[in-house]
Parts: sequence; structure tokens; C-alpha cells
Amino acid sequence: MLFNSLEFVGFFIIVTSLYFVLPHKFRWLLLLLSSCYFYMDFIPIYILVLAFTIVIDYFAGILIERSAGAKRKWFLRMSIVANIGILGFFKYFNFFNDNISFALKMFDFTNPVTDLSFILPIGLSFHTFQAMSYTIEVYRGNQKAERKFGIYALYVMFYPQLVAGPIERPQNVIHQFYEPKKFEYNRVVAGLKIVLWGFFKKLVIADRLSIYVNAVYNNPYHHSGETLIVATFFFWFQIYCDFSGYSDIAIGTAKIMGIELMENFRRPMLAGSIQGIWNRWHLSLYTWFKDYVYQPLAMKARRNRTKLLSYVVLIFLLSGFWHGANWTYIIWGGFSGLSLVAERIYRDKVKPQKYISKLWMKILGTIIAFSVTGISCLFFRANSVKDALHICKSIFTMKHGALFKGSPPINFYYYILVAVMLVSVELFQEYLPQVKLIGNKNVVIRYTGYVLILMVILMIGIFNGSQFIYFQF
Amino acid sequence: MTKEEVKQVGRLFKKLFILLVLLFVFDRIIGTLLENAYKNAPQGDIKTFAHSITDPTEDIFIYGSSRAVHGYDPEIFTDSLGLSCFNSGRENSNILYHSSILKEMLKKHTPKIIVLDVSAKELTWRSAENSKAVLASMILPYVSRDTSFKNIARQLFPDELRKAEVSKIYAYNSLVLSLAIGKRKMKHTKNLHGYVPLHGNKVRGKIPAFTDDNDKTDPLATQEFEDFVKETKANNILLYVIQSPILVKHFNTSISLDTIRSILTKYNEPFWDYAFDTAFYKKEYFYDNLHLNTTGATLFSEKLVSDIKADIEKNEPQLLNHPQSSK
Repeated sequence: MLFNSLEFVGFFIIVTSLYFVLPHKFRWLLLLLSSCYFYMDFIPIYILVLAFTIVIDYFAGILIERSAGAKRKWFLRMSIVANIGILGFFKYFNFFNDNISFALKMFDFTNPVTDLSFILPIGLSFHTFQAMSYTIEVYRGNQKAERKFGIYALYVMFYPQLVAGPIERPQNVIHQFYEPKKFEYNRVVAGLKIVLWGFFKKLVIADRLSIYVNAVYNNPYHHSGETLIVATFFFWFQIYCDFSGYSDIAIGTAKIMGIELMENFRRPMLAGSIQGIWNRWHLSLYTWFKDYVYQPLAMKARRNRTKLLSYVVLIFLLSGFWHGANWTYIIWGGFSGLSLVAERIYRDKVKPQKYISKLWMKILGTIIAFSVTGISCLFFRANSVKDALHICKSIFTMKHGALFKGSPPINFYYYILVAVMLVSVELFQEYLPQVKLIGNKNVVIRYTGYVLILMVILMIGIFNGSQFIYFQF
Repeated sequence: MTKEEVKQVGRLFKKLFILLVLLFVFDRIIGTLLENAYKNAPQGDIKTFAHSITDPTEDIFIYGSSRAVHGYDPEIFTDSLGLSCFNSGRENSNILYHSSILKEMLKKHTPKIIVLDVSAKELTWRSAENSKAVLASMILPYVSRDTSFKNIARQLFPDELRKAEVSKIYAYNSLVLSLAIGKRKMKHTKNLHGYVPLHGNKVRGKIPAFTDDNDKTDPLATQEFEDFVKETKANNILLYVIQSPILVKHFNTSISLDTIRSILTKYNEPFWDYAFDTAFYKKEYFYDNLHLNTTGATLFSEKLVSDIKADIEKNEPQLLNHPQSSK
């Protein structure tokens, strides 16, 4: 079930109404059953995969808590192997098999193993990582093992963040399922506002820009360097609004029910540096990698700077691989990690803050960081490495040709318009947070804001029910 | 739920009700303004569409996508054949759009000749869903006052129809800028009977190769193409299916063209292929690799008209002397 479908609107109204009508002791059951329904609406049989990991990690958590010493570690390892095993089997088997076939072919051998043909369980990388964070936190002693199976299952399956995050931590969410939540007008309205802005980002900005991006990226050989640059930056906006729009809808719907989920995006395009962008982009994933992979490695590396920087690149390579079983994602991850390391070295060695004022540092940093991450996006979006390299070449040699404006060309104005809308809103949110539209205390301004946003959604939103990009991960 | 909670739920419903009323009022006001702007739209896609379905009178109608819009000059057809002509092409469209427009037009008027421009990806480049979206954007503004369009919408995109029935603005989704900018741009533009000339030349670099990754045609598009041919045949309309000049590396055929040829053969209709006609295969005749510029369009229209004239004089000489027929 997609958030941007009428089916979800009906589902949400029914579940939320029942949630507040039911006594607190039955609410977890309602949420669990509705989450199962939500998940099974995609491909029902895959609920078994989810159930398998839930059972494994539920018992792993209890066994880890009860054990000590090497045994404790052994249970953690078993749980991680089971989770990674499932992820590896469903997501990466064909990737590795294809690469083995390619390598064998170079030596005139044929790979006897054929690819598996099945569709990737939706949101597999998200709920696998969320499940792993539970056993790791229990192992670290930051979370008590959950004895109530239904509550643990709900932690993994809570429908707003089940298929595309935010990837939660148990100590942030589990206790909230035990707390009785009252219907609070102010909280519900705040949640609805977040949902509204999420829908705006998805329907008006992301899906609108996707028309141009898809037209160009599906035919990169026919387009000029100028067009490919524009499409690449449009894709930056598109993926940001697609994913942060989803996160907003997830966070907003959970908030309405009184469950606070972690922030996932914080206006990354205005960060002012590459590091800043990654500190504001997909926070739940990058803090996951930081907490569970980087920090243990960094502890071992002590203060060896080369090692620490190489771990940064490693984290980004892993995050690229997490996104998809394709070399384009791995290159994207590597590029992102290297650009971050380059920025750190440059800042440490050159110390530009000595020569440039703070304001100019911010302006130039924003432009450079936006451009570098924008260019890296082309690897993320390109259909193959070959296409990505061709696009790079076309951009850097400024391949001649007219600027493609979409078909019909008047659509180009829509793309510009929605990009300007996004930047304007984010500039206000970042630098003039006191200026509010739908958060304004004045009722006339507030309602004007609501009507304006809804009118724009109706007038220029795209209602083709397109899937969120991050569902595929 | 406690009493306090019930009170707060009541407050939420009250506010939501106010918002819904406001939304309804603004939807109707802005929707009516857009409706008027749409009715009075100047030249361009909207006007072309409206003319083709509401008051068609011409003897010759040209159908096709952007390659038709920019490549066929109706004035040349009229000057040479003595028959009135209208270019009913539409950017970004495919056979699903043309077929629906033809069916609607035939309820009011039967032209003598129809020229259908097809591309080598005609039956593959758009999925049925995308084709429907293009058609929906043109049809939805009419569903509230035209039952035949309502029926098409109900058949092809019932969800879109439902949304348009709930919101008046939604029927004009994605048309706001066309109405606002198009009106300003087209205000002083001469009426060229649907033809939109492209000036200049933006062709740079090597001539690209033709690619079509699809290995089969869209079944709906194929069916619509066959229906299009059948409709013209049933109404005794002379049909010319054309592939106009294109500036890509030479290719012989495509899966779409093969299918088109076989359908035309079945109904004994001609297919004229000018794609790589040496008379036009020159950069200076193109705006970009797919579209002729004004020079190219003029030359091509002249050549096509002379070929059509020769064909008519040979096979249907009476056609050039009879007045136009209107239902």
C-alpha cells in the first residue's frame, strides 16, 4: 500500500480512529494487525520472511540478555548472520552471481549457477537494519530484551516506518508502545501538518521532476551535456523530496497516534559543506552506520587518522551497497565517501576559514557541496555504469546540443517552479524560522496556507500513484 | 476516550469541516476561472484539441505527435489541393490520443483526407498508462459538459474521472501554466491552423543512432492503430500514413513500423516513408534530430502535398472537386 494512494487514506482514517477508540491495552494488537495488513498488501507471502527475522531476533534478544561472556557475543553474531543472510540472499545473490559469471566468462568458463527470479521483499534493508539495531542495543545493555513478543514484532513492523524508515532504535520506540496515548488536538494537528508537507514534497516536487529526470536518464545518449546537468540536479531535488516526503508522512502519521519517530532529514541542501549534508541526510541510516560500524572500528583505530578516514570511505561504500545490488550504488557510495574525506583534509590543511569570512564560507560551501553531491547523484540514478560514465563524459565535455525542456516544452517551467518553491521554503525554515505559514498563530494566514498548499497539490501535483524510490531498497 | 478527548476530537472535526468548506469554495472559484480561461484559450495544444472535437470543418486533418505539429504546414496543403486543412497534432501524444480524437470528430464531421504521422516507436514509446495520462489532461476539462468524453474517461481512466468530479481544479491539473504562459505567448501569434513552426537549428555533434529497447508493441496502442485505420475506411476517408523525415543514423525498420505496415497491408492502405528521403536528410532542415524546422517543414509539406495530389488525381480525381462534407 502506497502512502500516496486513496487506499492508504482510507486505511489511515480507519486505523487511527480505532486506535483512539480502543482501550490502551488493545492498541498494540490493532497496530500490529494493521501493520501486517499494510505489508501484505504488497506481496503477502513475504510476511513469512519478516516473521522469520522477528522470531530469530526476539529470541536472540532474550538469550543475549540471559547470557554472559563469549556466549552473549555468540548469540549476537548468530542474530546478525541470520539478518545479513536473509538480506544477502534476497538482495545480493543475483548481484554476486552475475559478477561471478562475468569473471568466469573472461576465462572462458560458464557459471553453472543461474540467477534466482523473485521480487525483492519490500523495505527489506530497512526492517533488517532496524531488527539488527535491537539485538545490538540489547547486547550493549542500552535496551532490555523485550519479553512481549507482540510488542517486539510491532517495533519491527510499525506500519508508518516499516518499508522505508526512519530506521528506528529500540530505546526510542519500544517504551512508547507501553505508554497510554491520549487524543491531543495540538499533537494531532502538528502530525497532520507534517503529513501535508510530506505529500506536497512527494506529489508536487518529486513526482513532477521525475517526469523530466526519467525522460533524460532513460535516453542519456540523446541528450546534451547541458540537459544532463539539469536532469542530474533535478534528480537531487527529486530524490530528496521523494524520500524526505515519505519520512514526513511516516513521522506525521506516527505522531498523530502519539508515537515520536526520529528525524530523518534536516534541509541537507543548505548544510554549507559535504559533511554537513551527510549530517542532515537520511539521519537514521547514517547514524546507524556510525553507531554500529564506524565507532567500533574507530575505537580500535585509536587516533590513526589514515585509518579513520579510510573507515569513512568504507562506511559510504557499505551505504552504497545497502542501497542496491548494483555497481552504480557502490560507485556512488565510494564517490561520496572520498569527497567527504577530501573536504576534511582540505579543511584541516588549508584552513579556509582563515581567509574567507563566515558568510562566504557558508555560501561557497553550500554551492560546492550541492554541486559535488549533485554530480555523485548521477551514479545513483544512472541505469548502468556505462550510462553513468557516458553522462559524466557528456557533462564534463559539455556535449553540444539543445537544452531539452520536456515534452511539451512548457513543462520546463513547472520543473523550475517546483524547485524554486522547495528552495524558498527551506530557506525560510533554515534562516527565518519565525516566518511561518501553516504554523502561523494568525488563523487567516494559517488557513490561507492550508488552502494554498492543497490548491497547488491539486493544480500541479502528479497523481499517478508512483512508487517511492526508497521502497526498492 | 475521556470527555476531554471527545471535546478535542470535536474541535478537530470542526476545524477540518471549516477547511473542507474553504477548500470547496476555492476549488469552485478557481476551477470556474480556469474553465473560462480554457474555453477562451488562444492557439496551442488546447485550442487545437478544442477545434478538432467541437467545431471541425476542414477537408484534411493531420494527426500525429510533435513531429506532426512542427512538420506539416496546412496552408501548403490548402494552396496546392484547394482543400481546407487543419493540423490536429499534439505534443507528447501517441495513437491512443489520435484515435480518441478521431472518433469524437467523426460524430460531427467527416473529412476527405486524413494524414497520420507515425514514428518508428509509435506503438512502443509510451505505455498505455502514459498515453492515457496525455489524453486525460485534454479530456478531463470536458467531462462535466460532454457525455461522450465522460464515457471515454470512464472507460480509460475511471480514477481520474472520479477525482475530476470531486474537484473542479483537478480537471485542469498541469494546464495552469499552459493557460497562463500560453495565452501571453500566443496572443499575437498568427493562426496557423494548428501548425507550430520551429525556427532555427539546434542540431549539434554527431548524428545519433535510433534505439528502441522495447521488444514488443503495446497491445492497446496496436489495437488503437487498427481502430484508427478501420474508422477511416468505414467513413470513406482517404488515409495517408506517413513517417516524416528524421535525422538519426539510418535504420531499416522497427518493431512498431513492422506492425504498422502489416496492419496497413491488411486494410490495403498505403505507408509512405520519408524518414531518410535524401531530399530532407540534411542538418539545415532540422530544428533538432527529431523535428523539422520551418525550412524543412515547408519543403517536406510541399513534397508530400505533391505526392498526395498525384495519388488523388490518379485514384480519386473526384475528391478535389467536391465541396467538404459536414454532419
